[in-house]
Amino acid sequence: MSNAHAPSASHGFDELDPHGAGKHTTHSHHIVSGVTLLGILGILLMFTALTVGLAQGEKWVMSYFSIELPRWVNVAVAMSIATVKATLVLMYFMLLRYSNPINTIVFLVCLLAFALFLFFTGLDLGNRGNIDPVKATAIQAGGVGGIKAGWSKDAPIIDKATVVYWRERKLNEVGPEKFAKMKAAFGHSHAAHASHGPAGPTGNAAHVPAGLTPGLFDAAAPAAHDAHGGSGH
Amino acid sequence: MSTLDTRSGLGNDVPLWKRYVAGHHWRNAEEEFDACTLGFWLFLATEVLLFAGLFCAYAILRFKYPDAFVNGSSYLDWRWGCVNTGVLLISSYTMAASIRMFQLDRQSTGKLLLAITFICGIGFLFVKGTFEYLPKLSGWFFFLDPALPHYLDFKNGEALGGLFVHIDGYGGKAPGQFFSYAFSSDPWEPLWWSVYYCATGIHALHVVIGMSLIAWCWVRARMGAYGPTHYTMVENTGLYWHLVDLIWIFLFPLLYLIH
Repeated sequence: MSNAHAPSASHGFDELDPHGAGKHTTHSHHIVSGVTLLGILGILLMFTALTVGLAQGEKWVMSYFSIELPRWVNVAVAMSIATVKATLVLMYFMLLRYSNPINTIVFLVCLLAFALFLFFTGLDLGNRGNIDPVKATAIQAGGVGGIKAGWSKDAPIIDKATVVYWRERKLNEVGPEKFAKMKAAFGHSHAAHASHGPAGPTGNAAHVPAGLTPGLFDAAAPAAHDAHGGSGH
Repeated sequence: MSTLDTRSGLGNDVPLWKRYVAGHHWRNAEEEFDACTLGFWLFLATEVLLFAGLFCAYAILRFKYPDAFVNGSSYLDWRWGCVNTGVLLISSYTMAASIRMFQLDRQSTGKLLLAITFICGIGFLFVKGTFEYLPKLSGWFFFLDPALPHYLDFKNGEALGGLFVHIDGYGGKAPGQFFSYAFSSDPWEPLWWSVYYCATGIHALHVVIGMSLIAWCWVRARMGAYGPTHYTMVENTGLYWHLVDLIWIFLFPLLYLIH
């Protein structure tokens, strides 16, 4: 028996590991240098500043030249930077660069699944939320109500769009003057936003959003519309 | 210490990590480590898929109601988002550095870095809860909130000796049917808040879970459980924590920086 073993041992044959799997294990115990880790942190913080700066820059460009940038610019810029940041985290903090490649494969397959989700839900985006003409009279933008206004047992049932209901309720409670003041105060809390451009099609919204039967919301809340118009943008 | 494994044949005076013996069904400790890490990556994949659903919801709803999202996003202060991004990135660094310290058997620095990571987690949740969730949901402001002075005209209550101040009409920016904010400009705004609270809420839950794991690592590290030849738990906790960071890297621009 010992004779049979001796030659194989000299050829490096291990009975317990006939395919030599043990020899090919990747080095999981890679120690990343401290400088690398700090450097990556620095780059990540820099990219964070960059993405914030670019978002603010886009706003500035839009207001200074009074032009409207297509919305995809905002999304594309932000998502590109986020992807670079995520890749750095994955490679250096989560050690995908140094660890067994199977881990990277698992993660990439997972991203593929994510892409499939997005693709198939995106396929029917054009037909989502279209309102059947028969139902159009019963449906309004922002929902049809039917939910309780608050937590208490005897809270009334909302009979219109939630947003409209609460707006009217506050309007009745504090009166139009204070309402306008409050709206102005809350509206100015953060950077002024020019989200309400022309009502018609623009470069950013070439179609009237499906589900929004034109004019329905205005009909439901004329007061609300006035209040909005007078909020002082 | 109840799980003391005597197979190593080493005495109690030797640190736990030196006494650690890989499971008998593994060829060696390296293989065990690889398998654990692979298993954890599979788990992380399911976590990513959990958030993938939310990102899909975000994509669809933002495509359908772009104004509601731009409008909703304008209620958020990008500066808080930025602070929290910085906090999470730094905590990711301290976590990675902590693993490095255990690999080099620099126990006290490793434990210190774990503690800093934990504190960063607290900081993140504090900012999120105190300056974002609380006022937006209820109208109650922490007295140090830099936004508070703008709204003092509408103050209508105080609590805990002035520690919290209530601003009439500010709250109610709640998800879906709980929405009761009166000054909204878009009929679909409740949808925006649903997406916002689901995404950030589930993320915050992950921060809490990550912090619990880090605390557990710290306790075990005090027993000397981790060192150059055995640090699987810290490594996987680190992976989890980095995933939390990874999700936030995408949530931050999607929620705070749209216009």
